[in-house]
Amino acid sequence: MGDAVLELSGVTKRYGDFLAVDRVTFTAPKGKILGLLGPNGAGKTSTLRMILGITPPTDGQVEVFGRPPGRSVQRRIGYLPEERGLYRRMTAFDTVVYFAKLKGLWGGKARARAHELLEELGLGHVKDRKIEALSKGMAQKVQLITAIAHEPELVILDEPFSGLDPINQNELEAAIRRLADGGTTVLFSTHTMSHAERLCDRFVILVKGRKAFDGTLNEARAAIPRTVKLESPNDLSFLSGVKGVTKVVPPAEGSTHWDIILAPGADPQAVLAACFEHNVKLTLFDTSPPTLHEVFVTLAGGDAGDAAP
Amino acid sequence: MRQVWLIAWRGFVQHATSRAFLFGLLLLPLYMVIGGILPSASQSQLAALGGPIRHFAVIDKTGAMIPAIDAALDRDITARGLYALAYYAKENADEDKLRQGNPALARLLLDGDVDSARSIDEIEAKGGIIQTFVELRPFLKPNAPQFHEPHRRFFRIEPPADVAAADNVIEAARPYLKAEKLVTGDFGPVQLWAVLVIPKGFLDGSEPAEYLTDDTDRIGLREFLREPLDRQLKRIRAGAYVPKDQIDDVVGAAGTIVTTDPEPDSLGALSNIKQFTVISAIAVYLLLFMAVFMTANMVVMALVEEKSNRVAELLLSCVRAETLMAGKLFTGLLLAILLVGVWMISAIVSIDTLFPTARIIVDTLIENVSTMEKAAQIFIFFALAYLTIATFFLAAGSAATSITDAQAIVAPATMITLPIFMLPIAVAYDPAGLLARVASYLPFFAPFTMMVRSLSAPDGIDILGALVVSVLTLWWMVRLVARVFRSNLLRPDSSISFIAFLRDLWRPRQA
Repeated sequence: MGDAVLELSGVTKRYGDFLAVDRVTFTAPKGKILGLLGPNGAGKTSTLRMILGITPPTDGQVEVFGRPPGRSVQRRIGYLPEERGLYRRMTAFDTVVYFAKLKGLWGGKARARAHELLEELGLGHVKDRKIEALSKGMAQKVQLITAIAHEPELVILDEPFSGLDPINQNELEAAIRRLADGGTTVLFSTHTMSHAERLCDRFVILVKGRKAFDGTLNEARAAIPRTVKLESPNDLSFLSGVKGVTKVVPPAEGSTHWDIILAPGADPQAVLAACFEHNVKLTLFDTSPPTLHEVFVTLAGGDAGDAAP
Repeated sequence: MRQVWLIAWRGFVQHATSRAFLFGLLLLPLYMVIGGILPSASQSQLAALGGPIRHFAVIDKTGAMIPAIDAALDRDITARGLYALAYYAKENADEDKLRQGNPALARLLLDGDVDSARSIDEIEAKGGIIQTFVELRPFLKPNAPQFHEPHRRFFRIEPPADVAAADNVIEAARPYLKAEKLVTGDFGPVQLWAVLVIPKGFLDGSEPAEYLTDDTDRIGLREFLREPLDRQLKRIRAGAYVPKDQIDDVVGAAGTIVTTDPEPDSLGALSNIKQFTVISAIAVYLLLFMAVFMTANMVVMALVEEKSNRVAELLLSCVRAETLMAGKLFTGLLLAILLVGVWMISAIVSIDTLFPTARIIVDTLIENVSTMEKAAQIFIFFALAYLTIATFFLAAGSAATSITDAQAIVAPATMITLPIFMLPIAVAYDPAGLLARVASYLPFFAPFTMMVRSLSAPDGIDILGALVVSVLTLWWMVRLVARVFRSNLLRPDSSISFIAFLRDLWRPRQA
């Protein structure tokens, strides 16, 4: 499996008659940030649970550090579940120490890591407060610390940004980057594309349990037809006759925005040249590559409704 | 193992420091105090009234003893009445007024020796206790409470016809003494406490009187009867031995009473020692049972909470489901040990300090668990009993998604397991009997039965057999439950019924 710390081969998960994950295959390279994207119900959490060994796959194979998930690799993984859960009456410090010990750290080391990480994430002043007395953002940070306190080589974060305000989201992004910079492999699931676009080296997009995409952002952009965005008060229907243009999407009523869909490899300059030839008045000519959100919406189709840009 | 300990200890600390647990921990000792004070108070009232009433019969073949016995019974009630009236007078009479108004009565009630024969003679001369009270009444303080004349302790009744006519009085009296048949007392059917058989030869010393009872430990009545018999015997002999040189022999004459239990090997239903053994066994068992039940429920509720607030998923990412289950089980075991320890110590201390009369129960208990071997035996079966039940409850808890769901599953589960809890109480009455021995080899029943039997002296083979059965049952339960534990734990949203839970035990749904 080369330098991949994680490898899934044809992994399937069924709950009774419901097919949650359907023959998914991908790898996570060491020290990289891998985004697992998909709308709700796409099979992200089921996939992560199989990687953690919490539930077994119905079919296929999961390998973490070259071994099946389980006790032998459990301590090398850190996990932040989608549904946040901590003991409400434990203090932040005791919570971190407890989970660090469960992951194999001994008392002194666990306490030292708890101090260090709580300070680092700005929770030093509330370390002796009970979880129930912390704000949601603070509690979520504590939960992240419990996932990384034992210095795991692979950190799995299930929807880590959900419920956080923008400031805490930025802090969490920074923390994830620091982990990756330190050589930790990070796998996180999300349906918020902006975080994934900024953070991830690679993406896996799941739709209805199936893998719809696996690659880098550039590969993702190349995977969908390129769109030229134009704004003009004139009728641009003639552009459908230009070589390389596959579709012209007219503006909605009251709008002057046109989307010109190009065939793969087509040159956007041909569109601009045709506009000049027809003396079209342009207020916008945008050939920017598609965003991850656009890629996601294109790949997920009607299932992408709950995805955030 | 370290992870099991971490989980167990965290759960233990969380529960042991919670107000709810401390409340449960301290409530039972409080109940012990209250429960001890109330019976004591009511018993003191009873004692003031004359204590428990015993009905007995006399078969007097001499024809000379019954009048003496009846006279002694009358004198006894007078003596007890005098004691009570003297106490009442000191508390409620205006002493100065009494001394001035009725110096003789004041001398009798305030200054006299209430135990002396002379004082009793004086009361009888006045016409009895009630008549004496009538004399006292003008000298009572305002609002003095009502005076209660003590009841008779002992009632002589005529022997049942079949007993009186029987050649073998022991056999004939047996069903009456064991309360299988009742006799007619002044206020309805009552148990015959004892039968005193006085043969003709009792007068010349050739035959002893025989005191038949089912309880050879309670000798109060027998000793009471001894006195009038001896006195009457002396009187008769003194009449026969006119020569003065033999008067010492007459005065020294004393009858012999042989006490006989018609069925000495059977459980004396009213035997003090046996009663204390049974009471202490049941008390200990109930404490252990309550600890098992309470902590098993606590562990279930904690698990449901972890499941509903999604901590369970986080834990499962750290440890295997089996490790988590073991940690939960040991949390409960630690709590149960704490509960039993505190309850036992508080029970012993409170009995020792507050209820010295019940100290014999503690002494019996301590004697029964005095060796390390015995204590270890009880602890092992207690732990096995707890683990077996808690494993089952834990499976129920893993299937629930809320406290309400857990209660819906645990309540019928509790009812199903009720016979397992109840049977050992029956075993306590005959810990070496057939029922006890059979129950010691029954899966699920074995550890609970042995918790009770360990307080007596069960056969080694029974201990070994029960141990094997208990361990195998626990092993089977753990295997059964572990299968459903993991799959249920990750279903935070699917609630199931009790029937579905039972079905899952045999064929768990896929996780």
